[in-house]
Formats: sequence, structure tokens, C-alpha cells
Amino acid sequence: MFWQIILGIWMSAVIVASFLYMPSTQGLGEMGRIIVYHVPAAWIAVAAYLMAMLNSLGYLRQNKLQLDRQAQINAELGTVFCLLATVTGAIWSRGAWGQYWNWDPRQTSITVLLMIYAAYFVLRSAIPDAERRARLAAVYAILAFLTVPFLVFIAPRVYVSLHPDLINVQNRSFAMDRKMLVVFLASLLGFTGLYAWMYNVQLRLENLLAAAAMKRREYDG
Amino acid sequence: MIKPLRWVKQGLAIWRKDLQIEFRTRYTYSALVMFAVTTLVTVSFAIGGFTADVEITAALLWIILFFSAMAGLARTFVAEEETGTVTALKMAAQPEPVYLGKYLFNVTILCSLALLVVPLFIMLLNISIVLPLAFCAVVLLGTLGLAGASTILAAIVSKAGAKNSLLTVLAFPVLLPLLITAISATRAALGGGLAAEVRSHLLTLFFYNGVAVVASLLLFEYVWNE
Amino acid sequence: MAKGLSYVLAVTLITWLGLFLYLLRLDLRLREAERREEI
Repeated sequence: MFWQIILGIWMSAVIVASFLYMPSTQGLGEMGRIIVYHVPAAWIAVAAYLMAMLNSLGYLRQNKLQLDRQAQINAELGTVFCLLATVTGAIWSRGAWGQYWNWDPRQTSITVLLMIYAAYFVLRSAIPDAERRARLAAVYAILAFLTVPFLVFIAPRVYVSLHPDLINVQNRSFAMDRKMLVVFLASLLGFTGLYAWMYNVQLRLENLLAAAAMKRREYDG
Repeated sequence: MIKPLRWVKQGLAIWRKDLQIEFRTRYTYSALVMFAVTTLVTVSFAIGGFTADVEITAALLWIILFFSAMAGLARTFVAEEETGTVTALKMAAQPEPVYLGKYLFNVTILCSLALLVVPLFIMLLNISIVLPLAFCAVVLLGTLGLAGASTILAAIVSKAGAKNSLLTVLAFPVLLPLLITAISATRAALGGGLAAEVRSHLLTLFFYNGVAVVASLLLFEYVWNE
Repeated sequence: MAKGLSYVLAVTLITWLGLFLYLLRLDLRLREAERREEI
């Protein structure tokens, strides 16, 4: 319980600090505060997906259904954080550049990630058999993630002529005010803790359900 | 050294088999052609005598090729499931040559489609090509890429209950980088962008193809074998 | 601090606390269920 309480207090502090302690950003004004939530959410979304991919690789090699369960949980959590990142990004974009959406390379990458997650779940729902579902979903998770680096490298080349100020956003961590950096890093830590906790809770739940299902099968069989 | 050689021979044999079957019924090809031609004719008619913007026509070409691919490329695996020949195929060859054969088949189908669609596209939409060589290269690499990524996904779909719409859902995020690059390169080749960009786009397409085929070869056995 | 901003701060804080308490409740109920499994 200790760590959970700490996380609760920590994130509350981060939220308060992002409004009261942190100064408003240059050029983006008050809207820039959202960076404290937007960027960590995006990073966690990618991290969760990476974990899902590693779980998938593990499943293909070891054939343990537990790994498939982990992959699914990571995918679900990743989707949640991805949605959060997309929405906060759109809000920020509206405030900073007047439009919710204009296919900036970052927005394209996060959209593709969201679509990969969605496709992953559609695929899973189409296969009733547990082992087959695990195997095919694992292959898809790996294949789909391989395309993400392409976007990270090609998108800047394609769009560089259109929105230079957006590209400079990549340098934001260097242009950040010291106080903002502190809150940002604290938020990142908090988000990671939140992700870990949500993962832990969901994993325990899935394991319990699986154990209960097995027990029920023993009684019936 | 012996094994890859045998794989290539078996792959080619599977390719030939699929081509022969396809030639008899022309089922897949018809599906692709119907979709492509209908779309082209509709758009051309709607635009009338005007010349549409390069941005739009470039995207249109790839929309047609992408959705045609989605309409037809799953067939090569679904047909095996439907006719019950999957087990025979599994016994006859390793997963790798099976993938090779199916990939080559999809490439053939899609390239044949492109050979039909592109001239029609140029004619019906009054396209003027500024960089013909680049244009051909983009169409070739893009088509190869479409087939490359779709083949293994088609295999997954065939094992998952063979619903056609499933292929589109799975393929779109995977193919998006390819589509974006191909569209941008096409746009440049049709005069709408910098000619210098085209080389980097073509390089990206080349690497995309490489990654797609290699990854598919490595992962295919997990899809194919139960 | 502007009125609009304090409103956003309040909403964010309440949302977070809501999520936090929800997760906490889930965690505690899971622990109880796990303890019962042991028996």
C-alpha cells in the first residue's frame, strides 16, 4: 500500500505544481503546461507497446499463455495512454497553432500507433481459440511495430518543408525552463509508476480469473 | 547452401501452381480490376475535363492500388483454406518456400493490375508525368511493398476466420508508412514537389520492402504451423 | 491565477484523485480475493 499512496500524493503534487509552481511557457502561454501530461503519456504509450512486442516475442519462443496475457494487458494500457496523448496533443495543437489536427509527423505517428492497437484488438476478437489467438496476435504485434521506426525517420523528411516550427518542438527538452523540467521529469516518473500499478493490478486480475476458470473446468470435467 | 536453393525451387513451384489456378478462373484478377476500373471511371467522370491537383491524383492512385490489394490479395491463402489443401501444402514444403510462392503470386497479381491501372489512370485523369523514370520506380517499389506487407497479413487473416474486412483493418497501419512515402514520391514525380526528395523516398520504399520481406520470412512459420 | 486556469487545475486534480481511489479500491479487492485463493 505504501507505494500506491506515495504515487497518489506524488501525482497530486505534480498536478498542482504544473499550475502553481511552473511558470507559463514562452510563446505557448498557459497552454504549454499541458506538455507535462502530453509527452509522458506518449512515451508510456510507446513503452507499453514495446513491452507488448517483447511479450509477443517471448510467447512465440516459449509458448506460455501467461506471456500472451501480459501482451494483451500491455496493449490495453498502451491504448489508454495513447488516447490520452492524442487528445492532449490535439488540445495543445489547437491552442498553439490554431488547429486540432494537421498531420504533423508526431500526430501521424501517434495515430498509426493507435490504429495498430485497434487492429490488434480486432484481430484478437476474431479468433476464439486461445492458443491460435495468442500466436497470430503475437506475430501481428511484432510486424506492426516494425513499421513505427519508419514513421520516426521518414516523416521528418516528408514534412520538413511545411512546418518548421513544429519540428523545432523536438528540441523542447533543451529549451525548457528549469522549473518546467523538474515538473516534467516528476510527471514522467509518476506516469511510469501509474503504468506499472495499472499493469500489476490488471495482471493479478487476469491471473485470478484464469485460475478460477481452471478450477471451474476441473469441477465440470 | 542447399536448403535455400531447394526453398527457391519449391517457392517457384508454388508460384507456378497458384498462377495456373488463377489463370483458369481469373477470379482474383477480376476482383482487382473491377474495383480499380470502377473507381477510376467514377472519379474521372466526376472531375470531367479539368485536371485535378497533383496532391489529389497522387493520393488517388495509391488509394486505388491499396484497396484493390485489400480486395484481392487474401485470396491466395483463403483459397487454400476453402479447398482444404492447406494440409497437403504443409506436408509438401517448409513454411519459407510457401511464403515465397505466395508472395511472388501476390506480386504478379498486383503488378499486372498496376500495368493496367496506370495507363488508364494517366489517360482518364489527364496526368502529365514530369519524372517518368522516377514515376515507374515509385509504382514498382510501392506495388512490391503492398504485396510484401500484405502477404503475411493475408496468411494471418486466413487463419483467423478469413473475413476480408479484417485484412484492411490489419494492413492499414502497417502499410501507412509505405503509402505516405509512395504518395509523396508520386506527387513529386507528377510535378508537385522537389525532384530531389524522390531519391530519399525511393530509398525508404526500398528499405520498407526489405524489412517487410525479411520479417515476413522469419515470422511466417509461426502463422503457418499450428 | 486566472479563474479559467484554477478551474482546469481543479478538474485535473479531481479526475486524478478519482482514478487513484478507483485503482486503490481495485487493488484492495484483488488482495482480498488473492487471500481467499490461498485458503
